[in-house]
Formats: sequence, C-alpha cells, structure tokens
Amino acid sequence: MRTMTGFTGLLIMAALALAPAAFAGGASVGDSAPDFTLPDLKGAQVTLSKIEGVRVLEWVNPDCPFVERHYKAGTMKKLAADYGAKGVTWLTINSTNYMDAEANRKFAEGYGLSQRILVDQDGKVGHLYGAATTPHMFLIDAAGTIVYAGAIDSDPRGTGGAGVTNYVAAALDELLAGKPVSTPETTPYGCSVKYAK
Amino acid sequence: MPYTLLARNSAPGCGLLRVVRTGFVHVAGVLLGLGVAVGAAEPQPVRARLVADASAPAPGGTFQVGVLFEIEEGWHLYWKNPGDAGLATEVRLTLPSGLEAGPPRWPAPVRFTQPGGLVGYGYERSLLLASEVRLAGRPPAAGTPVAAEASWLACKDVCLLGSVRLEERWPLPAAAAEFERWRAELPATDPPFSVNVTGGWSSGARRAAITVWLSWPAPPGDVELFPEAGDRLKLSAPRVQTRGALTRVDLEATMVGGSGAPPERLTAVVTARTAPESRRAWEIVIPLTALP
Repeated sequence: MRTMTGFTGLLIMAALALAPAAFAGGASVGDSAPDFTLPDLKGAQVTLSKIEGVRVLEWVNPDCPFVERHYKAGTMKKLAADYGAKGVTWLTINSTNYMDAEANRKFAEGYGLSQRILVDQDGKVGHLYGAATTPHMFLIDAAGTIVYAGAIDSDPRGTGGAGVTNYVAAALDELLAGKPVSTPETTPYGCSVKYAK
Repeated sequence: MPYTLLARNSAPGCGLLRVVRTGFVHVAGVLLGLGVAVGAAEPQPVRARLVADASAPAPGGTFQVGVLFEIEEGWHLYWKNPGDAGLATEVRLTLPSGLEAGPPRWPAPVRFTQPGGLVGYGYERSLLLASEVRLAGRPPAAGTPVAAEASWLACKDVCLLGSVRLEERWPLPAAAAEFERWRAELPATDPPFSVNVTGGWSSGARRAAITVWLSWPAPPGDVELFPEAGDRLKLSAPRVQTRGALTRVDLEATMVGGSGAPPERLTAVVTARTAPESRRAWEIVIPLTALP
C-alpha cells in the first residue's frame, strides 16, 4: 500500500480540510450526567439530579430478544434489588416509540419488577445519552459523573459459563468500595433502540 | 476430529433447541437457547442453507463452504461489526477429519440507518458467508455428514434471534453460481488508492479523532468505509466526503474495555463504484501508531 507523502498530498488534503470533527452526540464516561425529568409508571415526575447516591440507567425494550433473555434470567431485577439494598437507585428507561405507560405497566407486572421504570416514548432522554442498544447501561456516581457506559455483560450471545463478566456489577462493586472503575467503557450490544421516526 | 470454525471469536453456543433437517429449511422458532419465545405461526424472515462451490476438492486442493442466507424484504442481518447496535452473524462449520476451514470471508456490507440515526452495517436480501476449506488428508467416505450451525440477529421494526443447524452429506451439492455471484463482493487486498491517516488521541489517549484520506487514480463513485471495531475500539459512523479523486473519511474512536495501549491499526473495508454499474470492495489497514 502506498502512502501519500509530501507537499502534493498536503495541498490536496487542505482542499478537503473542513471544520474539526466533533464527537458523536450522547453522554460519555467522564461527563457530568445530563439531567432529565421523566414520568414513572405512577405518573410521578422523576428528576435524575434529585436522586442522591449512585444511579444506574438501563435502556430497555421488552420486545428485544436480548432484553427478554436478561429479564427471563432475572439479571436486571436481581441487580436492582441487590444494589438497591446498598443505596443504589436503578432507573429503567424505555425509549421505544410505541410503548406508552400502559405498555410499560404490563411489562413491569409481567416480570414483577420493583425498580422504577421511566417512559421516554419520544426518545429525548435516549438521544441525550446516546443510548443505542437495548440493553445499554450507564452508571453515575454520587457526584453526578458518568463512570461506566456500555454493555450489561461480556456475553452478547447468551452462552453463559464461568467466563462471563457482568460489567455493571463489577463497576458498582468498585465504585462502592471507593475504587476507580477499571473497565469504564464497553461496546453495548443488543437491538437498536426503536426510536420515534 | 471435527474442525470448528467460528465466524467471530466467541464461545460455542449453548444447545440448540431443535435440529432441522438437511437442505433448504424454513426456520421456524429455532432460536438460540435463550428462552426466546417466538410463536410457531410467526413468520421467520431468514432462510438458511449449507452450500459449497464444488462437490469436493482434489486432494490438497480447496473449495468454498458456507451458509447462504435469504432475507425477507425489509429485514437485515449484520456484518462482523454490526455498527451502533445489532449482533454479528455467525457460522460454525463442523467438518469431517481431513478438512480444514480458514476464517470466514465476509462480503462487503451495506450501511443502513435505523430510526434515531443509529447506523448499522449488514446485509439485505441475501448473504453468503463462507470459508475456504482445504482437503488436507484423504477425502471423507461418501455419506459422511458435513454440518454448519448458523446464528443471527435479524431486524426490521423488531429484532429476532435465529439459529439453525444445517447438515449435508459428502460429496456436497455444488452451487457454483451462487459463489460466482458473491465473488465481486469479497474485499480485495490490492486497492487502487493510497491511504494516509491524520488525527490523534486525546483525553488521556481514550479517544481519537481519525481522518483517513484515500487518493484515487480517477474520481470514484459512492465511496463508503466500513471499519472493523474489534474488542478494543468503539467507532462512530464514518463521515465520507469525496471531491474529485480524493476521499476524506472522519471517524471517532473510543478505547473500550480495560486499560492498555491503543490498538496500532484499524482494519476497514472500502467500497466504491469505479464503473457505473458495479461496486467493488477492498480491505485496508489503517495505521494508528503515527497518531500524536
């Protein structure tokens, strides 16, 4: 493969030199978590910044097979309960365009969920965070900084086994122990968020 | 000993729920053992069959073996880098002893945008995902089974996981025409353009803004770049601009996983029309070591 070198290359490149590229939208690790207010299933308005302590955001769509697998296995419900006992607030956000509060209630009842489910049918908060997949996870520390973003675990195909790491549990354990999160970002996997067109 | 080919580095799948008979099958509710409920009456958007470009190679010779996916209109399957969401299609071959499979040869994907601006890389209508297979030893006895396990995520307005086990018997039924049709979609390694890269790492070397410059001998049409992501980098959808014979591609890379040095290179597939009717594809390696 040849490499373009020298003056000619620079001249040509200058012709296409546009404004410097900005990073794609959404919230990244190290950012201050963008604030939002969304209704829960009882119609109460939930504001992120009014919740104290460590917060987990989980993007959900019960029709997505990856989400379905985790809910049938109880992954999210168990994590929400286990870490809830340690003062962590788990917020499940549904940005699916066709799922209103009633559809989310059926989902919550079907799995007997007790974590808060927030309805984001117009996708505003999903876009604010750059949520791409279901599931897509964000972990926010008590100071309001995003300290983890990405996949729920290292097992996109659901093959199971001893080698699987739950990234969110690992990050929460480190955070609650006062340690830095050793894997702050992973590539999320799952269905695309079914945003409103 | 059977040779297992993984289309992507991942652990072998768990038990399949159902074994489907040989040949051209309509996949009905055959899903990865994920407890995914799909009603038997629900239409399945993907049909898969085990194909080869010849019935058998000469001793020491090679032939192509893979899975041909036929995808219903409007649905898509995913490339090895699925993009912002999705899951790579996977084919695992189980071959009789004496046969050795190389890595899967991925045809160039197409790019599609899902609602919300989420970019996907994959295939519409059909996909042939095959490997070169070498007959290293003696040919298998006639009637010896040759199997492929395929698994995929198919998406349209919703996503469905599917998997199927396909089986044929030696010698394999030849479908040379299918392979001929897909040959042009396999990326070549001799691009007509030169590659240069500028940009750099920032923010504690966790993020990089990368600009790739392709210098063509003549103005190309419809240039696209598909980056492989791998385990270490998460990449934004590339923005491609072509003026005359120069293409500029901007993308942002984020280091993912634990700590460690940034990857030294990024593999990508470039596609373009150098003649009006036909798309061509090349695989390139983008060096990242020179980035400040």
